[in-house]
Parts: sequence; C-alpha cells; structure tokens
Amino acid sequence: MKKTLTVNISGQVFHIDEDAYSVLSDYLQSIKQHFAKTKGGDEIFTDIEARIAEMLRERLVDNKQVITIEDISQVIKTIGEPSEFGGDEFEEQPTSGSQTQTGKSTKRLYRDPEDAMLGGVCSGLAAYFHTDRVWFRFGFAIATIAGVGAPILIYIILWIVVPPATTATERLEMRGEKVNLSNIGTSVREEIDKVKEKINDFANEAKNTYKKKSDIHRSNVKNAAQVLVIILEIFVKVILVLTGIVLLLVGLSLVVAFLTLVLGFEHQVFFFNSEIIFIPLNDLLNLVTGQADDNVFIKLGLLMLIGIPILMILWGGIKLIFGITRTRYVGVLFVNLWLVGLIICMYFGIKLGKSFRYPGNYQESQKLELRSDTLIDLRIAANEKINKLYNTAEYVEIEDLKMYISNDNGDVFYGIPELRIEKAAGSEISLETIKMAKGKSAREADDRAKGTIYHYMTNSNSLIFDPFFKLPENDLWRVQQVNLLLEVPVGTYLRIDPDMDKVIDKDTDFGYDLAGKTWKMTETGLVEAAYPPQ
Amino acid sequence: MYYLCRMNIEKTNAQMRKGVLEFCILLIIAEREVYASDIITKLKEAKLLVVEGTLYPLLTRLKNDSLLSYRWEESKSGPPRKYYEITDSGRTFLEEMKNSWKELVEVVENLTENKN
Repeated sequence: MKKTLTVNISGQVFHIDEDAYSVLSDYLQSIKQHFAKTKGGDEIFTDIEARIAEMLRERLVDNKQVITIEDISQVIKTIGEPSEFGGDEFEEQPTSGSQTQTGKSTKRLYRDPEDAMLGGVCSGLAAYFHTDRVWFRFGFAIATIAGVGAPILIYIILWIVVPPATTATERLEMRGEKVNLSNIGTSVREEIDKVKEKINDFANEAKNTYKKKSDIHRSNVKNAAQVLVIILEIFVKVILVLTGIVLLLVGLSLVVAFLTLVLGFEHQVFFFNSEIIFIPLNDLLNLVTGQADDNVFIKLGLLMLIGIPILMILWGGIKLIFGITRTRYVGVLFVNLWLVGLIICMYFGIKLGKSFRYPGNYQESQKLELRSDTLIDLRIAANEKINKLYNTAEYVEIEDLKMYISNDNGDVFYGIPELRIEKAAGSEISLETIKMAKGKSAREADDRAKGTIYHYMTNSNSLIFDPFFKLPENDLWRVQQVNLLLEVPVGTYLRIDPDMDKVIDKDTDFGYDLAGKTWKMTETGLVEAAYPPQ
Repeated sequence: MYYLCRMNIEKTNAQMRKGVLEFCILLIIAEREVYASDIITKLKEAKLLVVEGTLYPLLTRLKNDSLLSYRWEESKSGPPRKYYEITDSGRTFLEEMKNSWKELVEVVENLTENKN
C-alpha cells in the first residue's frame, strides 16, 4: 500500500505516489532553477511541464491510474537533467555543483529504525547532524551513567515525538540528501543489502553478528580515529548490554512483585513505613470497589498503568541484550496502552472518590450494669479466631486508621475501635459508641455508619471489648471507624488488661501507659492507683 | 589514451549536433506547422536530440528572436497545444542558413578529399 497524492501538472490532474511526487517535485524545482536567469525561462519551464504532463498522460493506459516512481524516472530520462540540456547561452553548471544548487535538499529529523539500539533516536540525530551515531549513543550512555536522569526522559520524549524514517524519501530526508532518483536507488539498495545481511546474520545469532561487524571494521581500519570510534562503539555496546541485563533483572523482580500484589497470591510482601507487612491488596481492592463490574475495570486499568512500564523495562532490557532493532510499533503500542490504563484509572478513581465524599456518623450511648464501688476490669474478648488474626500481623495502617483483612472468611474486614476513658458527669457508668463512615451522600454515610457491627459485653463487673468492629457482609470499605467513650464517675477504680493496649486511643492522657495497670478516676482525670486502696 | 580519445570524439560530436540543432528545428518547422512532440520525434529519428529538455530553451530563443511564432490549438486528448510556425524573418534567416550550410559542407568535403 502506498500513499497517493493528487497533483495538477500543467492543468491536468494526476494521482501520483508519494515517493514519485517528491522526485518529480525536486526535478521540476531543479529545472526552474536552471532557467531562473534565462530570458523566457518561465515559458521554457511551462513548456517542459506541459510535455511532462503529456508524457504522463500517455503512460496512463490500460486501467493504470497512478503515476509511479518508474514513470517519473522514465520521464526524467527522456527529458534529461538540466545539466544535460546544454545550449551556448546557458552557463553550463558543473555536475557536482548542480547537485547542491538544484532542488532544495529537505532535511528533517527522523528516527532511524534500521539502525536502532532502542528507538533509533541517536541514529536519527547523527544522520541529521552528519556525525557518527556512536557519539550520540556514547553521550547518552555517559550522561545516563553519570546519574543524570534527564537523558532517559529526553530519549523517551524524542522516541515518541520524532517519526521513524520508513519510506525511502523519509530516509533521504533524514540524512539531508537531495531526494532524487539515484539517491533513492542507492537508499533502496542499501535497504535490500541490510535485509540480506540480516537474513545471513539470523543463523549466526547475536554474538556472531557482532563479531562479524567488528571484523568488517578491522578490515577497514585506516587511522587512529577510526580505531577510537571502534573502541567507543564496543564500549558503548558493552555498557548497553549490561544496562539491558540490569533492566531485565529489575523488570523481572517488578513483575514478581506486581503479580503477587495485584493477582492476590498469599503472603504478599509490601513495603510500608519501612516495615515489611503483609497486605492482600486484591482483597483490599475488592473491599473498596465491591464485586461490581467496576472492580474488573479498575484491576485492568491498574494492570495497564503499572504493568506496562514494567513490560517496557523488560522489553528495553531484552532489546539491549539481543540488539533487536525492528520494533517500530512496540513503543507506540506501549504508550497507547498505558494511556488507556491511565484514563481507566482516572475515570474510576474519580468515580470512587465521589463515593467517599460525604462523612456520616451514628451514635448510641448505653448505661452499663457495672458497679462503680468495686474494681472494674477492662478486657479484650478472648476469641480464638480473632486472637489468631491479632498475631498474624496482617494489617494495614492508614493514618490513624487500623484495619485487618482476613482471608479465612472471604473478604471480611475488621477495624480496630478506639477507646477513650473520661469522667462521667453523674454517678452512672456509660459507654458511648460513635460509628463513622463515608458515602456518596450524607444519608448513605449515616446508614453505612449505623450498619457497622461492634460488640461488647459486661460480666461480673468486667467490661469485655471485642478487639474489632466488622463491616456487614457485602458492605464496602468507606473509612468506617468506631470510637468508644467510657464514662466513669469519680472514684471508680479500673484495671486495664495489657491486651487493651491495641484499642486504647493513644491521643489521650497516659495513652501509651494505660494498659496493664490499675487506675482511679479523679476530678482531674485518671491517676494510677493501687487496688484495693490502702 | 583510448579513453581520452573517445571522450573527445563524443564531446565534438555533441557540439557539432548542438550547432546544427537550431538549423534543423527551423527546417522542420519551415516544412509545415508543427507541435513540439512532432519536432522531438523527427529530431530523435535523426539522432540529433539526446534529451528532450534541450529543445525547449531553443524554441523559446527562436521565438524571442522572432524567427518563429506559435498559436494555441485545442487538443482532443488533453490541454491546448502549442503549434509552431516559421515567420517571414525566419524564412529569410533559414535561406541564409541553408547557404552557409552548403558552403560549410563543401569546405569540409574539400578538406576531407584533399587529405585522402
């Protein structure tokens, strides 16, 4: 498939291949310049143009619709290059001179996918500045190793922004050579040679390929500068291969981490607050998003958002190690997929964010059947399952929020309540339960808060707390919290079990010291005391 | 040496052809009113023309010297075509040219015979 342009030559419309067009346009330009200073030059040009149109019209026979590069080359051969026109009155231009004078040589920055380590950016730059690509590669490699991160970013940006030189015309423009027939011929021959070379090399594997290349170099060595270039090239190659290995290892470890996190294998490792803790991220995700379709999309989005950069690192490593160059569309594909992932994540992120918008709460206060004249025991309910959970250290701590997620029983979410002890206004002992949650609306948030399950019980002057509150089945995690406020009259003695430490609000007086000791409520708050009092 | 010789012969040939080209163009146009392609065909048959591009500057120059003129004629198969015809001053010029050509040929023939 070829791109075709529609052109008007001497008042006639032609469909012409892109490459043929560029050759013809340069040819006409060169004729125009040749006669620029001749009397009646415009007329000559118009006549020649008319003749070209006539010849092209003649070539369009038997359903042939498009002017090809062969047609143009035939026309140019018949009419001849301006330097062949001759004529005494026209100052003959030397052939070499006419090359530079005729036709503006278009020069554009392209990537060179034929000669690429990664994206062919360095080769393209080198072609543009007419230097050896080694210098650019060397520069990038050194700048990167020197700890400057910007070159990588610049490279990636250039990779994305600069188009690859794929057609013969583009490849010539990349080198800033005049686009004419012989140049295109040379370029095409070079390409064919390269393909041949690649086919030959294929059997010899990457290692031999390199050996062969350096052999060719050796035979061509003429001076010290060339030797230096070869040494640099080898040096850069070694560095690139080493970089590739590092990239591959980093990529592989990231893949392992990523798979365990997202796909929800057991005993996931996650670095949090410089401690290694275990979070089943998958379960957390389920709790946040529910089992609706959104869940699948969010996971897909996250997979793309996190997975694709990892894949790119891996791919980059493989390319560096094995010297793979023909990857014109891989980069574009990766970037596009990543952007899709980003959009998915943003969409559902905003959607999710809205469901956290309004806070709600629910409060209930209960008078406890406890006697304030004897010692009150504050304990944590002994529950085998819960104790097990306590000891497995499977918890997530987000700000002040503590939560545990258990795999044993489906996606059951457990949160830790926070207890504060204050002085009661009267003589009664009461426990206020304040449940909080968030939702799309204040009403939803209130309802959700009310639904949070928390139990405690009294037993022979003991107050026994459940260590966790629980979300009702199928409810989503929306920052549910349970705060407990125990109010006891002045003079009450409290013995706080060491296990209570986990549920005590550390922001209160003696927060860290309350557990494991006996306290007496005074007018000014809790004071450590012995019981029975002496 | 041989190569150098060949180069010179080719160069001289080209120059000789170039010299008579204007003369021949006028001869063709003097015969009847012609279209550029007709001139090209005839010149190519005579191997006087290597590339077509040579013709157009010559035609323009002859026209500028008022030796020939042209008129536009509609064509069945394309845009209007330029038909060239010789002018009166062109005919006078051509007659002079014919005479000098005869003289030239005679001189050259004489020289060639004398040598042999």
